[in-house]
Amino acid sequence: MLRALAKGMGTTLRMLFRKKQTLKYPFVKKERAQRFRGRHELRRYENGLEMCIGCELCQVACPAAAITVMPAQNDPENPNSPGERYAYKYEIDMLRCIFCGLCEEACPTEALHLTREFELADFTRESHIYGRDRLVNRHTSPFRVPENVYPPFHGLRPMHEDRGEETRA
Amino acid sequence: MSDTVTLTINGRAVQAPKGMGLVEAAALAGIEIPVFCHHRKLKPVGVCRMCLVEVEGQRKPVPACTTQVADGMVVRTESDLIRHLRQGVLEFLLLNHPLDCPVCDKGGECPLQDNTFKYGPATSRLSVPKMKKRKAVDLGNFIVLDEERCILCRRCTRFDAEVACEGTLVVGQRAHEALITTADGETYDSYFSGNVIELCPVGALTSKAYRFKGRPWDLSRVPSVCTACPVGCNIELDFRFGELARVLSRENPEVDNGWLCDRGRFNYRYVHSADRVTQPLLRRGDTFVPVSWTEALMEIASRLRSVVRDHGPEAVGFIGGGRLTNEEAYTFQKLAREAVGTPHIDHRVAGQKVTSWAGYPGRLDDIDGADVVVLVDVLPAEQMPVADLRIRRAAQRGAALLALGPAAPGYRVPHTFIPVMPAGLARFLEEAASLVAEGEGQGRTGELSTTGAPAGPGPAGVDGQEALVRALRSARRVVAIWGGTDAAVGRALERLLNACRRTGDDRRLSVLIPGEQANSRGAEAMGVRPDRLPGHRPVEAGAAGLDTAGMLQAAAQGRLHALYLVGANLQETYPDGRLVREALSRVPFLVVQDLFLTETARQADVVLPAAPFAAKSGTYVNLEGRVQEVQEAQAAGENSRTDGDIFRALAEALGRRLDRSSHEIRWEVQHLLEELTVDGFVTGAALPGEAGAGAPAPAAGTARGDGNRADGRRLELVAVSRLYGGGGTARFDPAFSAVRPRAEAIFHPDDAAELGIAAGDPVELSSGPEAVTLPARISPQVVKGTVQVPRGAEGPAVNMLLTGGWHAPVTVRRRVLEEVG
Repeated sequence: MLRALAKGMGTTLRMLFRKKQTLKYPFVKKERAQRFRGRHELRRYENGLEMCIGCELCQVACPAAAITVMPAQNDPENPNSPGERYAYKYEIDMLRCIFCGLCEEACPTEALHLTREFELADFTRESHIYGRDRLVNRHTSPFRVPENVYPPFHGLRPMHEDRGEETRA
Repeated sequence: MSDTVTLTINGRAVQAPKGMGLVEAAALAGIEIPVFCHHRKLKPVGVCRMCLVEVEGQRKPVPACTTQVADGMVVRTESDLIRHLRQGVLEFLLLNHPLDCPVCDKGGECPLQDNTFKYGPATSRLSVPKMKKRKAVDLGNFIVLDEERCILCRRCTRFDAEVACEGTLVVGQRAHEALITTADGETYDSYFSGNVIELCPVGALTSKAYRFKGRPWDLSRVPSVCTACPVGCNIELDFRFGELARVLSRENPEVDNGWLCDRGRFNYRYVHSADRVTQPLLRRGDTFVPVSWTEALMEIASRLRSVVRDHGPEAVGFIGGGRLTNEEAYTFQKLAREAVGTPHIDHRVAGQKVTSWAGYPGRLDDIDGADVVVLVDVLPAEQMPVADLRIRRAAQRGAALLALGPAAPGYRVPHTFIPVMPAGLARFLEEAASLVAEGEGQGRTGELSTTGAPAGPGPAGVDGQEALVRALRSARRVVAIWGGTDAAVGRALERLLNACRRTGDDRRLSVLIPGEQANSRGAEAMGVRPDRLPGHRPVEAGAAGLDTAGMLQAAAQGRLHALYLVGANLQETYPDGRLVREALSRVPFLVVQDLFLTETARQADVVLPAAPFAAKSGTYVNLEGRVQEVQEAQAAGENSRTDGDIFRALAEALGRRLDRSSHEIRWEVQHLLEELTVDGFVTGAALPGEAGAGAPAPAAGTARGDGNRADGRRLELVAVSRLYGGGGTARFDPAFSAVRPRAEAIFHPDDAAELGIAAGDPVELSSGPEAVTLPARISPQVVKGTVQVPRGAEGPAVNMLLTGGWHAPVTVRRRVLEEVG
């Protein structure tokens, strides 16, 4: 019996001098992997335009049906994104999301990005539905609008306009 | 010789009818040949080269769409060569295609996407930038063109030329700069423009209304039937999150042949309009107060009861019903006849007298085989647009198309327009009938009278009559399409057709009458008529109630004490604005059941919010008598109820249950329709004046004294239907209010010159004390001696000048500037 006791105490003693695994969680956060998949964000190009074009591919890729996208036409005077289309409503239900990252993979413009933030707990179900206000990153990213992909949208063009104007301008 | 041939496709023997294209023949065997330019409703052109197949004995691969099957043909569609060629074709098509699928509305239902996945190369070898063309070009009222995405298959231009027979859309420029366009200064504003969206195999032509609304996989699809006109085209309603996102065609070869008009396709957003009445409204002084259904129904029941107690049940009138399903229309007449006990009920709200005619039943496909199509006082493009495509095709095929009436139909296909004033139309037809019956007439033409011709110089009736008689004499299959606004014209038309029948017994003669509302025929068959009970049974002699005109007159004279309007904006639709105004202001109790607060509803004492068509289930009868069923596609929404539910609830509030169970009405209607059905179609009613037509309703519409102004000129006012005109559905639809016609007076150039009117001048039209000022337009399409105004247009109501018919003499005067102010 004594031997067993000594063995147990020995383990404890040995562990006492090892590197500590316990983190003082709210004050100290765990190091996350480079590709950790946490809360989503919708990124902006360096010029401030949203990268999301409202194509709904994330919505159809989502195996948990957590994403809802409603697209609309950009206001030519005050565009949200390059080109004609943007997502005027974008919602992710974080309670449904399984953080598989398929949405990120489906995104043709690399607008959707799973950040490393993971503290999503809250008190109501409604507050877990993230809208554009919480998803769209307020800051710009280093991405540049790709050339020759999104022609600038100036609203619907009349059928018979002077085509020479563009080249002259 | 048999009519089928046997050929071998990919080693399988396939039997196909002679003359069939290879693409269809392969489809019979379940073998898919990819196509872009080919469409089975259009003539093959073979421009995209996607359908190349190997045929044994041919040196080079041939396009399957332009090759017809032949006996003993051996075809290979899956060889290495063909696979290689398809990859080559797709690589070429994608050279300048922008591949902006993520922002393209076609993405998800795009043949170019699908074929590239199935047959295309995985990568592109293109290293230079793609051609830049314009994106988001405003092609017309409802369509956005993306020139970059277009692969120049020409389905759209071929549709416009072959099916719509208009030829507005063309391919402009050459080679790599080629693009879809219209003639300079024109836009693509055809009534059938929406069909090119469905035809386009890429996302080059997309809908403005559905632009960036969703993806095909988001949509839940419900089959339905269009209720915009009496043709009853089959449609598919696509909902996203419970909201109607778009309307597509659901092909029914016997009705719509896969096409839709733009009113049916794009006029759907009113369903979710914020202007809809969502709560029963009760008048308190000058304002409406929203109340509960119980309160509204109790109010109506108690007011109706007191009217019945004080003045008898005959002091209550019911108008409307042409927009209801058969089941609702049946409940409606039960409410009137059983719960209230009045014989005064009528579905006709726009001056039409005859809705159906048992005498010469017509089918839509009769038009396809017709040698002669006669239009009598009707504009098919405006009143039955998708059926008009059949007329155009018949005319292009070589059938004689003759249009009689005060307004030219404006076809671009060969046709003869015979201007006849409505007043002379019956006489014109009767004279033609006697000429046809005589079987000669070559030597008699000099004796023909010209009563049909408009006053003054202008195209005379004689040549027209001769043309009509000559066409009818040699015709085997005649289709007459008649507006149904004048019973005398109907009787004359009957005499003409009888005369045709006598001259040859193998003739097929048919008449089509487009009802003024989508289910006018159904409402008539369900007995929403003062002179007929359900099943076209005539009422007992002397027991007939008042028709719409009679009810309005009785109300104006104070004899009618309560009026109940269902889906009827009489102030707009009835061709006697003064009578409606008087009636509605005189009648002590007015109930209006509608989707919107129309000008008629604003005068009501109680407004009941009805549900739109998508919330209804039931059956409709189209203009040829075909019964089509619809299922409920969405909830009634907010606090509105379907019309049938409202009638039942109101009858209960009146202390009378109309049915023992929810299926009872449906069963009774089904039984009634079965009784009326002959050869699969509901028969029409007898023509007024014929035996068995029932007691004629009291005649309405009296000529008014006219204070003729010395400085004006008398012209015949002709109010013509317009497809985009009228109805709350167009006015409260954000996509549609922009195309609604504006009120204007259109003159013949000669009349305009005589009156000194230039385009845009304010012109005063007056009849009696009423006067309406409209901007003038000048068009050679207008018959000389008439002034045309569109019905249901935005602006001053021209029906103030009318007295029960859609034409009336008016005094025309150019307003001088000082008067206008």
